[in-house]
Amino acid sequence: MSLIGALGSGLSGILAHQKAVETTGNNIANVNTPGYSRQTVKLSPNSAVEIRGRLIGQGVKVQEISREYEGFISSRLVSQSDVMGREGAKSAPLAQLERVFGAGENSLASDIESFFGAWHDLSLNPGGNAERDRVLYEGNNLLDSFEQTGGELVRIRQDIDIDLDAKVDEINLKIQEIADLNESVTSKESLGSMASSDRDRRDILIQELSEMIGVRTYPSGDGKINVQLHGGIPLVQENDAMVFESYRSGDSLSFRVKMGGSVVPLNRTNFGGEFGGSLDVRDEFIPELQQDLSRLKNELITQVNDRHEAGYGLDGQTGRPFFSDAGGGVFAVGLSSAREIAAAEGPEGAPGDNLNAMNMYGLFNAGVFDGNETFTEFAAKIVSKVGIESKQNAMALGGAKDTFTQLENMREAAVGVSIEEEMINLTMYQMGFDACATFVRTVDEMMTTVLDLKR
Amino acid sequence: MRATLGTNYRMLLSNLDRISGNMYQTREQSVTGKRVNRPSDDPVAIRPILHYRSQIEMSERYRTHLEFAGGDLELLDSNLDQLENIMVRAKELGISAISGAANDQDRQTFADQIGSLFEEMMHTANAQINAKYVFSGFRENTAPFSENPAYSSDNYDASDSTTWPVIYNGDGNAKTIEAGPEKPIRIGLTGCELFLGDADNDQAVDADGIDLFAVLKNFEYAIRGNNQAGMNNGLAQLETGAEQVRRLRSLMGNNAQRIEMAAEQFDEASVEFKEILSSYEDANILEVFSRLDQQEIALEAALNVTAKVSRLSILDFM
Repeated sequence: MSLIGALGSGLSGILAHQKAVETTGNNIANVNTPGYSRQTVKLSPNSAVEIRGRLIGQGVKVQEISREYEGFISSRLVSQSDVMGREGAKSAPLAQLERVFGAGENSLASDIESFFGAWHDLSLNPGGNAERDRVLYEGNNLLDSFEQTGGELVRIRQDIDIDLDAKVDEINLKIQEIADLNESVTSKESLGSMASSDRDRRDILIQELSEMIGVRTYPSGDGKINVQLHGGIPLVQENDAMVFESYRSGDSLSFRVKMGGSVVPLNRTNFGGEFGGSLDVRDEFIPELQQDLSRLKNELITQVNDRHEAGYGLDGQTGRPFFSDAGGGVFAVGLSSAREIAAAEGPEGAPGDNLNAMNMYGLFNAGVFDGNETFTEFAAKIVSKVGIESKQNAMALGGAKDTFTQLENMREAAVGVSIEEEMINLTMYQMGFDACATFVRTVDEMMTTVLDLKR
Repeated sequence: MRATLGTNYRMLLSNLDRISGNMYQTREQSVTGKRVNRPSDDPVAIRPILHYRSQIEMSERYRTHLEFAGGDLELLDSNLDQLENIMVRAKELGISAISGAANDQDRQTFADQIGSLFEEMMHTANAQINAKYVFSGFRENTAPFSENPAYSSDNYDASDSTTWPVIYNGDGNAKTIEAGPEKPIRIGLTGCELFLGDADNDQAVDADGIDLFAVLKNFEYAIRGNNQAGMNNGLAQLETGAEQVRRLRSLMGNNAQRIEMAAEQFDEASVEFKEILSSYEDANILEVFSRLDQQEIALEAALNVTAKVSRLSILDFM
């Protein structure tokens, strides 16, 4: 081997170590970059050259700069993002619902109690004006309370729509970027180098997309990844990005995917992630509450009216409903004066007749629902339903977060950047670089010595 | 496992989050004094909490009602006391009138006195409490008794109200309230049963009843006319009448006692319900404070570790 050849080996070592130091530097620089996968330099010897029957090594080369990748954990992260997004999106509207159906002293149950309490007081003094006025007041108050609770439910559903609508653009950006990255990865890797940062970015985007709407992925060759919604509706097909759209149908927001010429409408089951969670609350849980609430209200109005119509007012009139439909399903106390309150059972409407007021109060303890639940018990059941849903959500969210953290840690452990490791690598590569440089200097000195022979 | 910078800080952060989240909850409990501040704090406890809260309201309302009713019954009793006195005085006058010592003039005086007792009874019968007539049944705004101008002692017929000395304008409904759910209790007497002996208000004196007004009137006439048989009969009727008043008075007395007992029961129940409610709803303050202490220590430890992690770096050794 010639000295020139030795210089070549030394140079290859210097260059290879320089690359290694650069890569380490890049790793360190990205220590806090989310989704970044550690890159490692793989060194391999240049193939030896046979010179006069001997194999002589030709130095070192950088075979590849590879990206550490843990496929199992990555796909778990995508599906766990889905779960976490779902539970996370539920917690805000559920917290609102908990406020609406409070456990405090101003609940629907306490308004029902006050209403019947007013009738109870009326039965003690059926002719009293103050008692009669209070019955009217509590009746209106109770209706207000129903109205307000129902209104809050509608408002929470609308808030969910506004929230979801605002995310549509962001989702489309992500879908488009994933498709672009698919293209970029294929074209870069066809030239033989690993498109590490593109792959990292794509992984992160998929994870974020999964947290928002819940996706499944599968590879499609050439390093491309296809992305689908639950139910197999494609969002990214190789280099093509579909268009995700929201539109109004009825009084709520619906979604669809446009691909090429066709439009696929989406339903709740197509979604996971934040959309899935929000839609679960919007289309399943809140409607259930609305149904319970209107059942409670209708039953209360019907029963109260039945008993009221059977009684007599101070003016001796009967058959008047206490609550009446003021149009459009909005109910109001239908009596024009407190005298019309039917506290009496006798047709005369005598001022001392409290029998119907007592009847009315009897409703408070009557098992109206399914033969055994009273109005307040039914109201309490609604509140407890909200509580159970919210508690389950809090527990599921806590669990999902823990699992996610655990997975992220596993990912970090497998492919993340450890400063200690990089610093030690840096030291190692630096020493290699130093040694190669020293080697080149030594060869140089040797060549000088050889050249000096002639003098 | 490789523990990277990210792993470490993520772990520290999630633990700090959890500890401070727990502390928030504990602090909320210590400030509000309540274990359940929103339905999700203990969904199972929600129904009992709302149930007992309404039971407390109900018990307190029942108690107030019963106290009012107790007050009304006391006033009623003083009216009945007056009535009994009238009956006793009428009987005394009757005995004096019937004795051989009385002459015509005495009898006229006695008769006049019975007449004024009649007026007094009329007054008692039209008594009011809180501007409501006591003895008019449900028609509490109507004066229950008025004198019947068509009355004459000769054609008095117990089974025909048009011949009675006094007309009843009330109705036959005695006021009833609940001494508890589905536990009705009478707190009033109707004028017709007390004064007229006509409990069913069918405008005919019942077989076991007697018209006090008619007794007095007829007695007065008997004395005036020195009708010995009438006077003897009147005296017996006075006794029957007094018995009618005593019977109803003791009925009301019993009810007053029942009401008092029911009020006490509700008082006790309300205390009991409050205790049960508290066991569902209230935080055990001692336990909350010691938990708060524990969590503060945990937070301090976590913060300490966090600070140490950032101080310890391989860079210091290179």
